[in-house]
Amino acid sequence: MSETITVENVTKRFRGNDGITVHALDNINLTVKKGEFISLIGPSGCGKSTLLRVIANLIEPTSGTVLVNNKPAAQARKDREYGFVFQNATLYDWRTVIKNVELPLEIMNYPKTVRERRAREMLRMVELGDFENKYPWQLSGGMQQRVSIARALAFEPNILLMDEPFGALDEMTRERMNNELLRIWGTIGNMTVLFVTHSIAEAVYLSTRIVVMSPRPGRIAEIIDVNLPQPRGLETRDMEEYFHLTSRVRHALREGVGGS
Amino acid sequence: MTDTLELNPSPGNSGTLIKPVLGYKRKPDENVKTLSYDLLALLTIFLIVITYHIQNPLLQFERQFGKAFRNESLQPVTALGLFIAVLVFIMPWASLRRNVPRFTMSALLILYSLYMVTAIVLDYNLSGQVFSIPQVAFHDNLDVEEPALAELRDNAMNALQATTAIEYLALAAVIGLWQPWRRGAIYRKALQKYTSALVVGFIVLVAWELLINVFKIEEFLLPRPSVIAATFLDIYPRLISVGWNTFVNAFWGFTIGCGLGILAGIVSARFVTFSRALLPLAIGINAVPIIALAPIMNNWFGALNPASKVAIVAILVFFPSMISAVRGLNSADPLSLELMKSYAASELAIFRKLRLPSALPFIFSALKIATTLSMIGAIVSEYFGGSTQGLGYRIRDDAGLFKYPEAWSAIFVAALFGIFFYLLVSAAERAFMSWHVSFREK
Repeated sequence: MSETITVENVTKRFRGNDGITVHALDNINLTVKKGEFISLIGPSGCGKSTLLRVIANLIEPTSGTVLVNNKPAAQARKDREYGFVFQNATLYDWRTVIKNVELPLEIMNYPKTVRERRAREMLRMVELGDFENKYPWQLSGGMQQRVSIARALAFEPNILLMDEPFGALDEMTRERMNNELLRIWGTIGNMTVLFVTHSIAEAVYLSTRIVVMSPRPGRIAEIIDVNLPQPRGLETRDMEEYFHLTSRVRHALREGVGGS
Repeated sequence: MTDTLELNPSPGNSGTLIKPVLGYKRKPDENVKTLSYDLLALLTIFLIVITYHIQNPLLQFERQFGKAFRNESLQPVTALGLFIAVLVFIMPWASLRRNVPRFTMSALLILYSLYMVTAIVLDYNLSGQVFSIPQVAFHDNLDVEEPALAELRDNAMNALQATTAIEYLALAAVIGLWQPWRRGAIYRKALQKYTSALVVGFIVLVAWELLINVFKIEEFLLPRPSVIAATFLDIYPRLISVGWNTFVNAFWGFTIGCGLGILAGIVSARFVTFSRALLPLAIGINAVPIIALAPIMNNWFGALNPASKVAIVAILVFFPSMISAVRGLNSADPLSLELMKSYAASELAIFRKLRLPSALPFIFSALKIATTLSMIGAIVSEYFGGSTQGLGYRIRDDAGLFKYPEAWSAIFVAALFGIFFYLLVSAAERAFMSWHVSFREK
């Protein structure tokens, strides 16, 4: 399998308003292969969101290099190599659901007919086909986040970057959204997902690999392979291996915090 | 399913869908469920009656109501306004095809307004053709009492009767489409909401009337509301005509000032150096009582030239609209901007698809304030000299001659035009921002 994302010696320092420098990322090295589902997990302040934003080229690293699809991150962003899903759905209130999904396609100058066809397809995939003419504020939080996933996938990127996308949802909705996401990941095939979360259960259930991070300065504490069988479902959560992995992640997290 | 469709986010009500209030089949449409639809229906009726009065010489020159709207520049606006009001009133257009009665009534309204547009805007009255009246009789003040023109009067009478029949049909069509008898629930809700305001207003008027009687306050200090009302009914044709002239000044000043203000706002939001130089200056100038410039504008453009009034209004509204535009354009939330960045969107795309829509609430609240400002500017600038055919001039003149009931009637007309202007901008706001939180179902 080929490498999709390569992070080499990435360091990021922020200077806060009070003049104190925050060491958000310290010498991060990470390689992600095509088709992997990677979770970045860690306590708040460990730099997991910062790492995702550096990979997305939404912020520049202080030093180090990031390659996405064998291109520098800035070029990859310009070539629209990834779709990004934010913690809240960031849908535009003045656009209907379908128009929100069409937004990236409009910016990329797709013709109108293609835009509408793709957007409908995506909405059907997230099972919101009947809601295309509703406005975002007429939908529940879970539905809004599904629209935002449809929007991120509308232009068929093969990388999906997700920043705590289900963090604001209740537990039941969240579990359903996890299954949705796995189904979509399975449907599209060979799609690489980078998923930031602070939920251990979510990380173990979804991922093929878990990157455990620790704070001050933000660094990778441990990388844990998840060899649970695919496709995953209700029975996955009852497996012995699942419990074993959960406690391994928990210990890695605790050690990471204790070590600083 | 926790993911039910929530049109009504209040607890205990979640999941309920909006029930159409109206009897006939049409999509549940935001406007139909609010009082603004009733206002639109009333406006349409009002404009039908006005246009009916000003297209026939017998009504235009002989009746108070006809005289009130004779103003040369007001006439075409009433006809075009009627046409636009009808087009909006019969929305949604797509539903007309399936519904024969609605289609018939809408077609009738469109035909009536087209008849009025040709008669009033294009100066070609079809009834003149049918009843052999020279077109000149419809707009020039011919004295039809003269024996030589007696025959013309008969023809004008016939034309009037024919038009009256059409007018009644148009009015019936409006009421048939509007169906106010099915809107009881909306009115009850509105009454609950506005009862206290209506009661307070009524009490103020009654107290005003009584206190002046009890304390024997001289008429010239403060006339009674009943006296003002009687005077108003007596002289309103002249007041509406001069009020319109002043409103036109306010309108052009508003359009030019806000247009340039928003443009300047866009430029300063785009170029940070520009806004750094200009914005503190704009905020400073905004604190200056600009109306004080009115006498200077009179010298620049000439007191009788409407440009002096338009200029003062334009300057008055320029700075608030510019400042609001800058604030609005910079109000887009950081995550939405990051989303655009993740698409590698161009500056232009970010502006059109994100910054401008997020600025609309700011811009419209500035525009609503600007309507009031521009009426103030247009009226007060006339106090320093101007055309005798202006509302400010009338107020100053009547007050100077101790004609207080007349002055108060003029102030009342100023209030009417001010409210009308505000409602006009509010309607535009509703049309452009129906998605905004302030217009959502409660």
